[in-house]
Amino acid sequence: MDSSLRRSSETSLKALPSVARNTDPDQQGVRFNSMDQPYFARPGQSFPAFPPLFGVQSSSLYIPDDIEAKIGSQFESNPSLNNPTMDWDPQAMLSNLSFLEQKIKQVKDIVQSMSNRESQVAEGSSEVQAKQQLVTADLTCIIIQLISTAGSLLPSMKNPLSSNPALRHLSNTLGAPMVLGTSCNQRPSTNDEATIPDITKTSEYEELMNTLNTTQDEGDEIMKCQNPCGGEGSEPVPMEDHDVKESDDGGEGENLPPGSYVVLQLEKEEILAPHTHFCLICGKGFKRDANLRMHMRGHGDEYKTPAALAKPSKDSSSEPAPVTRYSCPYVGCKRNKEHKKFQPLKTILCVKNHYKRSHCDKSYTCSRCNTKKFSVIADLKTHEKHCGRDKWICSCGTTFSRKDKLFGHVALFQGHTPALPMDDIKLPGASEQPQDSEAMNNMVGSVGYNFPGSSSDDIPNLDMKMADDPRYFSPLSFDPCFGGLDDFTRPGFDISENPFSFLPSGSCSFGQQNGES
Amino acid sequence: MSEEETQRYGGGAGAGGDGIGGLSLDLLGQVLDRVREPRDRKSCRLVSRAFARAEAAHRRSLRVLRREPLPRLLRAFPSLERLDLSACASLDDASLSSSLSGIRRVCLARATGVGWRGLEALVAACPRLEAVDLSHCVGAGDREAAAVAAAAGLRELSLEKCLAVTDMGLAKVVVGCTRLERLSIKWCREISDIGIDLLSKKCLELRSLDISYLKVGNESLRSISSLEKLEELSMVCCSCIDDDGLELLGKGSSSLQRIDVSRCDHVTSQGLASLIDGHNFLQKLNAADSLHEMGQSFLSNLAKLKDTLTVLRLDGLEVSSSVLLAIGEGCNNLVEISLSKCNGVTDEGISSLVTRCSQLRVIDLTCCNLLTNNALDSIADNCKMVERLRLESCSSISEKGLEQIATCCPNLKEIDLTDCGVNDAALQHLAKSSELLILKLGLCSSISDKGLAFISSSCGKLIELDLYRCNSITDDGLAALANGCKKIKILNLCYCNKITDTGLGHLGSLEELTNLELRCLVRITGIGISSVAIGCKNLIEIDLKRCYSVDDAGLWALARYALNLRQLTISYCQVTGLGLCHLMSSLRCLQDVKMVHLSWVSIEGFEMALRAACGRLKKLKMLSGLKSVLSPELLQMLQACGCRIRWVNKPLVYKD
Repeated sequence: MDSSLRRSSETSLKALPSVARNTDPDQQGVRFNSMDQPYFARPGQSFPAFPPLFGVQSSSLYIPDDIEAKIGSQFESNPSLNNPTMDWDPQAMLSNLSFLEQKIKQVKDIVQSMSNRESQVAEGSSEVQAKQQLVTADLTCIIIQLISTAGSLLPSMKNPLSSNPALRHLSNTLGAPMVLGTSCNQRPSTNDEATIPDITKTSEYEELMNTLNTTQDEGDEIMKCQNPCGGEGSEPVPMEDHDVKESDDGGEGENLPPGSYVVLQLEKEEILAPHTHFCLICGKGFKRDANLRMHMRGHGDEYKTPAALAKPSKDSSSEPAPVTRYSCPYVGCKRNKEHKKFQPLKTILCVKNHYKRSHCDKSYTCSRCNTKKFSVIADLKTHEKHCGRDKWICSCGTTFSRKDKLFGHVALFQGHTPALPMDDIKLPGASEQPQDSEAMNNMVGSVGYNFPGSSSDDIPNLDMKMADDPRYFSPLSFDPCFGGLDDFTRPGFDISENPFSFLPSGSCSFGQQNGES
Repeated sequence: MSEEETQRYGGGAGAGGDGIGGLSLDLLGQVLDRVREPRDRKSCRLVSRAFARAEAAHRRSLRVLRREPLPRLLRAFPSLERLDLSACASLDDASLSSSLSGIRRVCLARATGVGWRGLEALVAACPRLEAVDLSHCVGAGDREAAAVAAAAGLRELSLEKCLAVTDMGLAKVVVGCTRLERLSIKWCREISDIGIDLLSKKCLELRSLDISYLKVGNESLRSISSLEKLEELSMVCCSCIDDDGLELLGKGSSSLQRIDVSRCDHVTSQGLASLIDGHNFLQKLNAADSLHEMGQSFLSNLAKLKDTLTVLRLDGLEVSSSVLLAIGEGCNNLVEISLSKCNGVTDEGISSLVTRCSQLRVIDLTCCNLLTNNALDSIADNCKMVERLRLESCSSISEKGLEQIATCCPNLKEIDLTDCGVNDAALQHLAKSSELLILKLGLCSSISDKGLAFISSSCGKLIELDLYRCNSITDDGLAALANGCKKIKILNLCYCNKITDTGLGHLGSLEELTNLELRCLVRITGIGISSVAIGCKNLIEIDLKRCYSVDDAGLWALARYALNLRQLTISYCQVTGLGLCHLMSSLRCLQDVKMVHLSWVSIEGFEMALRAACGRLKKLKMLSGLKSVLSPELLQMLQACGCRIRWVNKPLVYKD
C-alpha cells in the first residue's frame, strides 16, 4: 500500500523494542474512559500480566499503530497528556507554549547558522539540504503543536485523548504501565475475540474534515463496537457521554420520550437479507409482499380477513399502528437499545443502512477511482455520480470534490490559484507551469516547507494513508513527537515530506485528492 | 529641421510657420496636448513636420479603427500608453502579439475575435499593464480571465458581459491581480457567492466593484463589507439581495461613497436606511426602480447624509410632496436628482424640493406627467445651474415654462422634450440657450421648419438632435440646420417622411456627423445616400430600414465613400446581391449589419457578401430562413471570428 510508511514503521521498530503491538489499542481505549476510572486507580494489581509490553515482536498486526508507537516513544516529556480527561489544563498549555518557544528559538538558531555560513563559504549541498530538512521538520512540529494547543482550547475538543485510542494506550504504557496492566488482566480474552474493524470510513471522511469533533465520535463508536459478545447485563458495556453526529441514519432530531414507542430489534441475518417487505409486528422480512401477508395471519385473526389478505390499499389500516422504532443489534452501538443514550432508528431501511454502514465491510469499490469503498450500494452510486467529475483542482495539485472547498483552500494559501480544465490541444503545463512554480515559491517562501510536486508518486499514497485513518487527524496524534526535541534526523520521520496533509483545519479537505485521484 | 523643410511643411499653414520649427519637441508636445479635437490635431500633424514629430514622440493614447495599420502605428508612436481597440475591425489574436511594450491601458471592448492566446501575448508583452477592458467580449470565459490574471500589476479590469466567466475565472483574476482597484463583473451570471467571497479576501485594494445582474445573494454582501477601501458598489438588478444584505453591508467599513441598488426587487427603504446608518459619507445613491414605498426611517436617515449626498435617484417610486419636501430639507447639496416615472410628483413637490436644493444641475422628471409650467418656473427661479433637464412625456408643459428655463438657466446643455407636444414658439425661446448640446424633440409633430430655423440660428454647438417622427419637417428645415449647427454628430430623422434627396444633400455639409438614422424615409433614393456618404466622412452608423427606394446606387456610394462606417441597417431596402457584395467587401470597418427582408438578394448574394466580410463582422441580423440555406462552413467561420447572428423568425421571400 504505502511503502514509505511501512518502511518507516519498520525502522522505528528496530530502533526501539516496541510496545504492545499485539494488544489492540482500541481495546484499551474501551476501558480507559471516565466510567472505568475507578478500576484503574487500583495500583499494580496485575502488572505482570501484561505480556505485550515486554513481549517479543509478533506478527505485525496493526501497522498504523507502529507509527504511533514510534512517535509515542518520545512521549515522556509531556506528562500532562496522561490525564485522560484533559479538558483544558493550564499546566499543559503552559508547557506546550514554553515548548513552542523553545522550538522556535531552536529553528531560529539553525537558520541563523545557515545564513552565516552561506555568506562565508558555499557549503556542501548535502549538508545544506539536511539542514533544510531539519528546519522543515521543526516547523512542521511547531505548526502541529500550535494546532493541538489551540485545539485543546476548543469546547468541542473535550476529552481529546479518547479520540486516539492507540495514542492513549501508548501514553499509558509509557507513563503508567500498571494502569494498563489492570485493564488487560480484567479481560484477557479480548485480544483473541477482537476483530479489528475497518475504520477507514471514507464516507465519514468529509465530515471528519469539517469537525475534528466528529472524528472523535467516530472513534468512540468504533471502540464500543469492539464488544461483540454483547451479553446483556453480564458485563457493563462501557458507555460514554459524547455528542453523536450521525448523518447517515434517520432518527436524529427526533425526541420521542422513551416508552412512547415500541422498540423492535431485528436480527443481523434479517437485516442483511435482501428482503424488502418487513413485518411491522415482528420485523421478519420477506422478498414478496404476498408472503408477508401470509405471514401476518400468524399474528392474529384480524389479519386473516379477505381484506387484509388482498393487496393493500392505502387506507386499509383503520386503527393507527403503534409507533415503532428500531434498534441496531450491535451491542454498544448508540443505536442499540441497551445504550445509555439510545437513539432509535426510524424505519427498517434506516436499520439496514445503518447496520451496513457502521458494522459491515465496505464491499463495493468505486470502479472509477478504485479507492472509495462503500457498504451500501446506493452510496456507491451517489459517489459514482460525482467521482471523477466535478473535480476542483488547485494549482498546487490538490483536488477537491466541492468548489467551495477549493475556494477556501485558495483563500488560505497565498499564490494558490484554481487550475482550469485545459483543453487537450494545449499542453497541460504550458500555461499552468508559471503559476505552479510561483505557488511553490510562495509556499516555500512563506512557510519554509519543501513542498512536493504533485508528480511524485509516493506522496499521494502517504496522504491516502493519513486520510483514510481518521485518527490521524486527531489534534493530538502528533504530540508525542514533540517529546524528542533533538531527534529530527530520524529516518522514520516521513511526515515532513508533506506537512500540509496534517492541516485539515476544516476548510480544506486535503484527503479528498487522494480519494479521487 | 532646416528652414527649407519648415517652409515646405510649416509654411503652408500661414501664420506661425517660421516659429514652429524652432520650438523644441517638448513644447510642441505641450501645445498638442492642448488641442482637444482629434481633427485639429490631425491638421497640425499634416501641415507641419515638426508637429508630426512632436506628436510621434508625445502621443500617449491611440484609438485604432482597423487591424492592418496597427503594427505600423505602434512603431510610429513609441510612447503610447493607452490603446483603444474597441472599434478595431477584424482584430484577432495574432494582431495583439505586436510590440506593445509601453502600453498601460488597453480597451478591448467588443473585441469578440480575441481569445486567450491573444490576451496571453498581450499581457506578456506589456509588463506595465494597468487596465484592461474586456467588456462585451461575450465569448470570453475563464481562460481569457486566466490570461489576464497573469498581469500582476493590473489595477482596473472590466469583464462586463464576458458571459462565460465563472467563479474559476474570477478566482484566477483575484489571485493573480491582487492590486485590483476597479473591477466590473457585470452580467457574468455564472459567478456566485463563493467567487465574491474569494474576491473580497484577495483584492483588499478594491475601490470600485460592479456586480450588477449577478445571481449572488446576501452572503456576497457580507464578504464585500469586509473590503475596507471600497468606495463604489454597483449591484443593479441583483434580485437575490434583500434588506438583510444591505444591513450586513451597513455594518462593514464605512468607506462607501457611491452605491447603486437600482432594480433590486427585494430591497426596501428599510434596508437602505440600515445601509445609510453604517455609511455616513455616501455621495451617490441610486435606488431607481427598486423601492416601492418611501419609509420614514429612510427619509430620516437621508438627512444624515446632508453634507455629502449629491446624487439621488428614486425612479419609479411613489413620491408625495411631503417626501420631496423632506428630501429637500435633508439633502441641501444635491447636484442630481432623478424622479423619472415617479407617481405623485406635483408642481408643489418640485417647488419645495428646488427651493432647498439650489445646487441642482441634473433634473430628471421623465414621465412625471402632472407637472405644469409652474414646476419649470420654480426650477428656473431656484436652480440657475441646471445643465440637464429631462422632461419626456410631461405633456402639460408649454412654451411659457420653457421660456423661463431658457432665460434663467444659461448653462443648459441638454433638454429632453420628447413627446411634450412643444411647438415652434417653444423652440424660439429655447434658442436663447446657446450652450445647448443635446436636444430631443421626438414625437413633437407640431414642430416645423420654422422652429428648426430658430434652433439653427443660435445653437451652434448642438451635437445631438432627435427629430423622431417630427413629420412636419421638410428639406428646408434641414437646409437651415446644416447651415447653423455644423457640429452635429448624432441626428435622428426617422419617419420625417417629407424629407427627400434634396434634404440629404444639405446634410452632406455636416462633416462631423457620425450617426444618422433615416428610418422609413420613403422618398430618399441612392442619390441622397450618395451625397451623405460623400459629405459626411465620419459616418459611423447609418440606419436605412424601410427606405424602400434606396437601391444599389446607395450601397455603391457608401462602399466608395463611407470608409468609417461601422454599423449599417438596410432591412427592407431594394438592394441586390451585387450591391451587398460590393459594400461588404469594400467597407473595412463594417462590423454590424442588419439585413432583414432583402428580398432582392439571392442566397448566393448573401453567401458571397458574408464571405467577403467574414473576419470583420461582429453582429448580424438576418432572416432565420437563411440559416438552413447558407453553407454551414460559412456560419461556422463567422462564429469562429466572434460574430453573433440574430436570426429573425419571419418567412423568407424571394423576388426575381
